[in-house]
Amino acid sequence: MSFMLFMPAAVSNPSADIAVLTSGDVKQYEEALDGFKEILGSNSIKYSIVEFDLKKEKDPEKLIKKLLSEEPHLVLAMGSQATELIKEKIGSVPIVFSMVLNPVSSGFVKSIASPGGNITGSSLDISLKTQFEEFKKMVPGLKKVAVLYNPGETKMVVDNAGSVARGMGIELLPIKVLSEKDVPEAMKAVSKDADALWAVADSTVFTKASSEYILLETLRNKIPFMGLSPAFVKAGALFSLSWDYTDIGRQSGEIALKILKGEEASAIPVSVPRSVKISVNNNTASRIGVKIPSDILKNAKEVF
Amino acid sequence: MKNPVMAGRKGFGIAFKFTVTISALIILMSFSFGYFISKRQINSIMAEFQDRAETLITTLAYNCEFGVLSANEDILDKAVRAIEEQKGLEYVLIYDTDHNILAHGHSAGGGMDDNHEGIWGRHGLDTVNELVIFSTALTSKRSVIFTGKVSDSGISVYDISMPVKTVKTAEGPEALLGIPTAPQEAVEEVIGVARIGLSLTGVDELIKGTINSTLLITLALMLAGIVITIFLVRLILKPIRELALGTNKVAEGDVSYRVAITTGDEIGALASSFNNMTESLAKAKKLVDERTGELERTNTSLLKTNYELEKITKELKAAQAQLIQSSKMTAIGQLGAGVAHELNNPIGGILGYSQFMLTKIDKPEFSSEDFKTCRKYLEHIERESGRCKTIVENLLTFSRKSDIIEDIDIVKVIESTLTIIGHQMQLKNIKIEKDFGEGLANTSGVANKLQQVFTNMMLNAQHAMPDGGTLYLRARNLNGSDRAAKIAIEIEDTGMGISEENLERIFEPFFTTKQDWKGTGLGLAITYQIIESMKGKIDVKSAVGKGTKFTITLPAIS
Repeated sequence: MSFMLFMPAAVSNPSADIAVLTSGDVKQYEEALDGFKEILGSNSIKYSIVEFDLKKEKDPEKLIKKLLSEEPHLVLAMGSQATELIKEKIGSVPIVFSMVLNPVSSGFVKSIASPGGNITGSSLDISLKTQFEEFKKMVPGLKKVAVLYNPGETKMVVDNAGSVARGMGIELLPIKVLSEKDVPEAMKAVSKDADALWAVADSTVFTKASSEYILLETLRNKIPFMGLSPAFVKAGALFSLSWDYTDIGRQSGEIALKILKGEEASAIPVSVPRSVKISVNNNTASRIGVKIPSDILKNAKEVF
Repeated sequence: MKNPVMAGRKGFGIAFKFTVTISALIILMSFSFGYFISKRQINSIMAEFQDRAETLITTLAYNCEFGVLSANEDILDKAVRAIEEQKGLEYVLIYDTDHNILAHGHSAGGGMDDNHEGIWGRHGLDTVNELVIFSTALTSKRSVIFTGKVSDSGISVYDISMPVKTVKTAEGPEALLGIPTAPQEAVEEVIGVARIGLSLTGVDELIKGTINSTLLITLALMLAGIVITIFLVRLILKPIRELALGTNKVAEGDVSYRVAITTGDEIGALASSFNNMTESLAKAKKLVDERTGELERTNTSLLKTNYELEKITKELKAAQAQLIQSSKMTAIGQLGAGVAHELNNPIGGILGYSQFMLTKIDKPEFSSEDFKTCRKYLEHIERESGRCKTIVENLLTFSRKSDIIEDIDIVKVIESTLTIIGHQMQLKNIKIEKDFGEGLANTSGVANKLQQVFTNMMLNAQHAMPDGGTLYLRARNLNGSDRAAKIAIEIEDTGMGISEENLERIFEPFFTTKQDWKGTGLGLAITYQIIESMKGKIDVKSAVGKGTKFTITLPAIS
């Protein structure tokens, strides 16, 4: 367990003890935390941070107990695991989450606009509109886009996506996958009926094994596939959107700042990524016969 | 060619021993070498084969993950087809955890619709082992190997199975976006079993080929080794044989023989030493021959010298005999006056009686009384003449040169000597005391010479007693410890005696103390020599002023 204390020099502004609970000692969380600190620091908040790492503690109960004994004014939860854990255990201390995917469907907040409860934060959910816009830029003349999903997990997102796409002149073709067993058949349907494949963060669909298969099938059948993250692009997806983790941290910092200044967490809307980059795979593009527009290539965060 | 060195030798030759020993070593080494090489080869073939099987099954199990997860026959079929073309692949089977066959393949191709029995029958699998293999593979972490014969085809099959696994993690949803999260452990789940059977026929053939080629190489190596050994042994032994031949020649006496080996090695050095030795031998032989010649010459001259020596000895002996005789004559010369005296008395008597008789005969009246007187005178004359005759005879006997060996009566010889010398003794006032034992034994020798001894001794005694004395003459038998009986003769005088220093020298030739008397100095020397020639001994004891005693011991004859 590591403790890090930061004592900035500003005196006149309110001081705060902030506990940070991360879901792991990973690079992305560090970047986000840097953004978070940047905001607090630039607003002359006198604060101290105590970090708790879920990955390093075998017994989460003990970790939470320790965290609470620090009597923080605010808890910053990095990732869904940390958020989930702290949300259950904490009473009056406001929680700001960061780097969380689908906070609504995970049940962290009631809605994006008004979270309710004592919790709010910044999500990783890039707006559906942005996603389809980028898809259209990448694959001009995109008409039918298939998506594999488990209704029990991602029905809401897929339903929303369907209407967003329709508004953009794209037909979204949702294919149900209840287990890995359905993946091969679903992929057959994709290659048969759709121009491209879009992805939602559905853990039933994208297991380690099935992800490989899906990637393989899209390559075999020359299906432009928009992956969930740059990791997918690296593995063979045509492209994906990517995040500026520091900026997401900044968004979390801004929300924390509001709470520290007295705003109710429940009334502060969940932020969505405002700085979106794109990652592309040139090999895949040439393999499946897609010409990546030069301006996309130019602005791409990563090119594999 | 008959080798003189090899001829007559018992047992095996060095060449044979060398060749056999080295060949045996080569055979042993070749076979060990062959054995290890082939063993290594076989191991490496097997290891390669096993590696290949392991790779195949690992790849298959990995490739089957999604196919088994999705129970998708098409995907699995692809995976099966992918390796079906592998060389020696007899069968491929993919099971789910409930022992359902999800896909199978065969070297001859196969469909997917068969039931278990049909599939096993088609793949020639042993239904008894089937469940054992399956359940073992399902519960193990690694590959499971079963090697056995496939029931129908009789082909040996290397059967290898491996669990098909998937990894399930309870990660946060962000993991889908590539953000690694969660402390949760990855849970490995076995979802099926992949199994292949690889024919061992190819491997067996490869192994057989390896063994054959190794055996061939081994045999070739062995043969080459033996041939080289034979050649080398011959090469090495040729000069040794040459040397042996040379040694034989030299032993037979041909020291001019030289060994023609000029190699710079040890054998060359040996040959050179041999040649040097032969040369030295030749020189030595020449020297020996020369010396032998010299020796022969020396021998001849020695023989000659010997002959001359013998001649000289003979001459010496003759001279000695001459000497003895001369000495005897000297003695006779010395005796001359005594003998004349001895003869004078009877001859005077004879003369007196003859004159008496003549006066009687010239008277006219020749009475019967006169006749009686004349007869009495004649008897006297006869007696005195006889006496003269005996004296002269004894003298003659003494002076006679004699070499006849005979039995000698010692007393007789002494008495005979006394007839010549006795009168002289009386004139010199010497009393003679005789003591001869009863039954005195005879001795053997030349009586004449023994008489010379006694004559010498008595004359010496007489000279030792110029003013008279007693001469004791004793003779007796000695029966000493040694059985041979001896006779001891003692001649003792009561004269002046001999000093101790002279006593040691009296038997030396030409030693004499008689300055006033002409002595030859040979008397006692000759005495000593005569007694010695009779195998006797002579001892002397003397005391100055009291007398001298000579003891002669002579062997007695029975």
